[in-house]
Amino acid sequence: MKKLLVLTLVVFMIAGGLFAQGGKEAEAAASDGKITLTVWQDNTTPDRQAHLEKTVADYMATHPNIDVKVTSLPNSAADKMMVAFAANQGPDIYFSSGPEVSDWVEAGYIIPLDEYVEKSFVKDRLLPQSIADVKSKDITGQDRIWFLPLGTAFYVLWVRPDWINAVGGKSDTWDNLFDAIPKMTDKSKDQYGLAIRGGKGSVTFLERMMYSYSGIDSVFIDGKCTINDPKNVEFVDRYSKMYNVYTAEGDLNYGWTELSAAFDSGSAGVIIHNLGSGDNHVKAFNNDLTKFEAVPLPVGPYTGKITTQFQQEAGLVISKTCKHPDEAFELGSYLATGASVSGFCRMYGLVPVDKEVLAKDAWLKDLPWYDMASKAMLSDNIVFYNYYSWLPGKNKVYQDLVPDFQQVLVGKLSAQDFLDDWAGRFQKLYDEFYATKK
Amino acid sequence: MKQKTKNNLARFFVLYIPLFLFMAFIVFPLLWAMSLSFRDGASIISKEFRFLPKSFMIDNYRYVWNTVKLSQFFKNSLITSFGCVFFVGLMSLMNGYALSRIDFGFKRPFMIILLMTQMVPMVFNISAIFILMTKLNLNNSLFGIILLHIAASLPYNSLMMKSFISGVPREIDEAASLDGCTQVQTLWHVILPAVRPGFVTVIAYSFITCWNEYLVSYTLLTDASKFPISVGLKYLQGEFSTDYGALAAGCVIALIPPVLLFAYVQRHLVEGMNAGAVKG
Repeated sequence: MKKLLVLTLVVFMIAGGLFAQGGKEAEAAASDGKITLTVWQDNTTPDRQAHLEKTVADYMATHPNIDVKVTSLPNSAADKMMVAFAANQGPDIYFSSGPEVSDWVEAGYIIPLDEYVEKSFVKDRLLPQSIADVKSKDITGQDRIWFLPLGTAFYVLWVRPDWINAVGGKSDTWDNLFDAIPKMTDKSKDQYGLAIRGGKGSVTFLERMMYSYSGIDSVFIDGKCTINDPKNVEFVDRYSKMYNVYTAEGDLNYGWTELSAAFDSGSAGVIIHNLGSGDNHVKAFNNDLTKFEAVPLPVGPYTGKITTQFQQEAGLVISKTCKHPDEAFELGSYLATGASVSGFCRMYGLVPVDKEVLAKDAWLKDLPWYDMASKAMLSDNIVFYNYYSWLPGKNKVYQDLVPDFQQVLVGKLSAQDFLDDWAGRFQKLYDEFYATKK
Repeated sequence: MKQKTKNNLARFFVLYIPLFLFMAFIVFPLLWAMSLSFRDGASIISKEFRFLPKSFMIDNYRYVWNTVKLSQFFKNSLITSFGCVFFVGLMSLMNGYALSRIDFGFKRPFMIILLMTQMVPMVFNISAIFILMTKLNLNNSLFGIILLHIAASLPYNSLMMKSFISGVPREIDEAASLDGCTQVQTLWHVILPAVRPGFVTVIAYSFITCWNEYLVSYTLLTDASKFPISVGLKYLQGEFSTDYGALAAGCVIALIPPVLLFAYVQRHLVEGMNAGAVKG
């Protein structure tokens, strides 16, 4: 019994020591007169973590009065952030993945940054369309800046140039691509012209392709949803009929991991994704650029232009509970520009929106897919459609419609019925949102 | 054909073959993960199927242990799991004894409340827990995580211990009392040896629950160096890609303590699971 009591005492002492340690750290931070800022970043891997830690260490070396505490989180931290913000325990600065910013604005968890931006060097460093895009996403309708943009995702087709050249095909227009895919398919060799994402995330990607085909420049025009426009219906019809004819049967349940594996293992000739998967393809094909290439989304038959999203959802937000917002913004502007954002975008597969980085950084020229994306984004032949990313409830609709899209793929639901239902759901969200604003 | 041979054949087809198939389902993924953990990235994504790697390399283990800092996450998990197991073991033994042997007011409602706590999923309470732990200044400490694990495990394990202790005849307590034992001595020297299999079951169950716990640790801890191994493994799943070799190595490392524990306690565990099965 004595042994047990001694053991209990020891465990309590250890636990108490651990408990007290936290208090001592906090006291130490407060007593040395430094300003402590907390920075959280999600979707981190060891490489991404190392980059942020080095960037912050460089910053602290030139700002001895600032102590920055970094927390790198694996996976998306949207739920963790919601809980932390609700308990007033959010970080001072958070690298947001984007869509959830609207919720935080509505809940009053973050502060507007437009006045800071107006006085800061970042105003002239960031692409004007980038700032305009951030303002257009202000859910309050006041065109305010709620996050500092870092980069934009650019959606591309990853294609096998060796396969497409071998059949004399092209991927510049949707019509040419639809002609080439059957020719690239050779089921006897387990080789398919296309891999369709039918599982998790499928509807989001379908939307991108639909608008690329139809060339319609907004999901809502004059308050009416365009999802079920006949041109979009035409695309879904043509696209879904390729399933299990020029694609593998398993595509029905493909999420990103399976889609990537199909391309990287040499089973599929064309997939859609962003530039973030470039490093995977480099590894899979041993950097043999004759075997993989990123091309812009094809030109649709109706406009003759590339139509895509300006998906600038990664950005820095500052929490309302931040006690030193001036210092936090200064740190934020450092993180959103120069070497910091360059490394961030390189690792997260984004095209930076800092003009200096875009003009000078070598990796944007050296990696063909980034070079292609930079040129495409600056060309006159590109249209960025308004996809209303901020519309509350939109992401849930995407998730809920995945089984319906699978029904379309297997021929149990028509493209028209599917898109009518989708448009109805979006229209409801839109009407409800504006009803509350009246 | 002799009857004995017939019986052996029937036993082989009805018992051994299905058991072997079930075992293959369980063991194959583990062996496959071990195989992946010793390979380089190129051989993992290659189309060629190969169970044994061409050359064994331990780079994945080095990478996850040092670069991904799995060593730190592993240590954190050991602290929280052993911290929790110690208190849960001790307290559930005492609770189980009280619930089984002592008649006190509102005993039945108390037991129902204990059961009810197990019916609410943790995710439902997570915001409230976060606020509570923040108010107590425990939201970013391993001690706070240990306390939560204890709170989450204790009700179920107390009821389990109650069930095991109820299986021990009260006459044994009375005999101990006649020999001059106090209640604490009776619990420690008489009851505990009698319910050792059940006690080991409680220990093993609460250890595994703590070791695998993800949601509370991920939500409450704001300092990444305090994450347990269940959260640490998530660093190996990238946004666009997964380092399968490293992930497999990390999973193999994470498996070591539970496997060692089960290897040590398995005999008691099986006895323990059966021992309280029919006791009210």
